[in-house]
Amino acid sequence: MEPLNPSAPSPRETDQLLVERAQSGDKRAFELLVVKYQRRIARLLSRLIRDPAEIEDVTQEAFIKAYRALGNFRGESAFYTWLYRIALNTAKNYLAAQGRRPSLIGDVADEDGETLDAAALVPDHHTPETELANRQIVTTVNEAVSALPEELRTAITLREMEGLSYEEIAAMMDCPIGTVRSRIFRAREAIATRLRPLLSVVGRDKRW
Amino acid sequence: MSAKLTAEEQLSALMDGELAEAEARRVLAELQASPALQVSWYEWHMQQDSQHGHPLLSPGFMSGFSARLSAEPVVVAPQRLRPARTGRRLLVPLTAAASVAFLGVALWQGLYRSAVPVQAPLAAVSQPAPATVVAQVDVDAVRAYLAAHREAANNPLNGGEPLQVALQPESK
Repeated sequence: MEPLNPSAPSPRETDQLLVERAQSGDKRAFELLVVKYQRRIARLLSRLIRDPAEIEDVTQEAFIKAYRALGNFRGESAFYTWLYRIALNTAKNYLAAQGRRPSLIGDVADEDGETLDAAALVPDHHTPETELANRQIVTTVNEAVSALPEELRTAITLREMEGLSYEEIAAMMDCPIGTVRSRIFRAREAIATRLRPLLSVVGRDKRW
Repeated sequence: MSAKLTAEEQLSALMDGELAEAEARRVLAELQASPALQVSWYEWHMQQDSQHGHPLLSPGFMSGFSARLSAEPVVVAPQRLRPARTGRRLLVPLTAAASVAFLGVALWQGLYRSAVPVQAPLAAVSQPAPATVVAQVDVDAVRAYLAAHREAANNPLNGGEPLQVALQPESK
């Protein structure tokens, strides 16, 4: 199916717009990228490092290294692919400095984070607190999705779980694209409304 | 629909790659200036990550990261270096023009030499203008090409070290 708007930047291109702002000296733009990718990078590193506190430390370190190297990033690959490599190298260097080996594998040849995430079989490691918080968040999100009106639930599920474009969702739901956009937004807001009380207790970063 | 709601709906579409580039740039600018939109950005990505099974990090992760980032020198890859891409794009028509010009000269000379009898040198002398014009274009193109090549070779974005400007750490 043809894209809805040929001039619409893909998520990769949206990242590139933020990267360009960060390369212009705007640290806030880089923080927005960190907000977006922090958990994916942490999940990646949890394949190599077992201790949750270490995972967070190395995740932070990887983002700092990425920021320092941002002037080198030319957009030839997706930002996440570039970040993924930096995170892997940061973890390997961290483990090597401690005379340790990655707990999963010596070498991760695939540079596509999505592929690795989907293929990874080793479970994540959390402290009991983060495990509980994770479970609460996941449960709340799932309950919130289940409680959505059917048209919102279908739209957000097709988008988030199936990765369909708005145009594809519009075709499947037999409604205008603008309606799809509105339904997905309303679904996100409805889920966020149910998440907020929980985030104020367990999961919300004070800065955000 | 309020302006805020519109901005959030557009932010939602931006996350899905469903905004036109001009709109996307505008919404990103709004996002950077609006704490409310930043909260939405944070919450919606948390939702996405939760649905995809990505782990949560501790509540202090971002504030800890922001503190570290604020102590970092600002990295700047100046926009003025970006025209290198434009320059590279310009090289294509320049080199193409040079090639066409060269081919034109060669063909013209070949045709001229084969068509004009050696015994008629005055005819060649009387019609030199096309060759002169073509040769002039060729020289200009080659000069421009070489200038662009030198510029590209000296440009850090084309393989050299990037320009990193270390400024004072920002205070937030």
